[in-house]
Amino acid sequence: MKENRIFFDRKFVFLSGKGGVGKTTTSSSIALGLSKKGHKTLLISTDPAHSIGHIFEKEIGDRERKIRENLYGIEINVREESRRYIDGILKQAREILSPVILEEVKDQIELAYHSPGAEELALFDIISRFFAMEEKYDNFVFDTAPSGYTLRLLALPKALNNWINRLIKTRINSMKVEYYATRNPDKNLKQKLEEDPVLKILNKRKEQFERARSILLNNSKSLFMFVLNPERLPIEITRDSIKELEENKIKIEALIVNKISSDSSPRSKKEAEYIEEIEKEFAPRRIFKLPLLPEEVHGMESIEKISDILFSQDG
Amino acid sequence: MENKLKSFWNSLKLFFKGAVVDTSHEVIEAAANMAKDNFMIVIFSDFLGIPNPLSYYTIELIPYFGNDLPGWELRMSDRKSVLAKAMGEIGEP
Repeated sequence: MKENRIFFDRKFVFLSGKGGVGKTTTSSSIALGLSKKGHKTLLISTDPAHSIGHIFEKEIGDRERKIRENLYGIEINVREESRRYIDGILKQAREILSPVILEEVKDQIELAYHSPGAEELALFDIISRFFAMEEKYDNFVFDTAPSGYTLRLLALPKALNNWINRLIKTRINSMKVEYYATRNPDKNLKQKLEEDPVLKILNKRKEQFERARSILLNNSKSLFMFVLNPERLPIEITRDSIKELEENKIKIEALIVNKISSDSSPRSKKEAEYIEEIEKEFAPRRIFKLPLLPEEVHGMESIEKISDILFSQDG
Repeated sequence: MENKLKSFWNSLKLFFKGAVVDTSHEVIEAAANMAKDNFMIVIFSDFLGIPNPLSYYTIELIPYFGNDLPGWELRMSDRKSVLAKAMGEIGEP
């Protein structure tokens, strides 16, 4: 029984699923359950509605805050983070570039904020930040997962790795030739390469990609789960998403069926059919079942209730 | 005698510097510009009409290349043909 407990032995837990199925509620209950067993746990929410503060009835915000013994929370707004990144680049550009040139590149920098992949890469940057502080907590629980697009980029070594390696190589080459073309260089080549801000940025990215790869594609470190409701559409979406992710070497090991009603209404009967379908279709993956609570999920008490149900099924 | 030898030696050094080092320098300088231009294509590909799916990451490098942008744009739009450029580098046959 013990060897099947998936919540405890994975450092990083990610929850996927479409909006409104209960990712934040479930991730909060998983984090609470882990903390109650003595694991120092960080719960990370990227939900713009700042709902973990609402659930735990506590002001949380964008710094790690203690919620209770062994449980910490942080709420990050992806758009705001992305804005901060763009503003940092604009500031740097203003310091280095002449006003005329700044005018020319400003739009390009600004445009990147609105570019198609921007929000997904911004989320990836946020998640990566926690990979870099792996030692600080026993467990990290995310109420979201890197997008399919990001995971695909990471899963294909040819995509990101080769891209960044080639850029680094090109830059080093360019600096070498430039060095030989300088008549009286003030520093030697090795120093120049070490101090180059461009190479620093590129190497930082390379490190980020490598670390993320080694964590996300390693299923002794990461656990991906899908949250869904017992309804037609969520089942279809989950099926497609799982197929897409598993094609890219990301294993979805468990599903959480949330908001199951327990009365004897026709709706409840239909739900039972759907649950049966889910269990058949997604076997041998673990299926966790959570009831629809009569009251709104709010406050430590209701989260504790869900947490207990969830952990009683883990084993 | 020693003086004459020394001045001859210096002239000889100057001759070779002029004949080899200074001309080769231009070639290396051109190569350096080329190498930098190639790197800038990745960063400023949008200016050439080539979309970059990772522009969210490459914009971080723009501040360090912005000052080379006017020259780069000129060189990019002024390339009459790849062949003509190559000819200019190695000399007419």
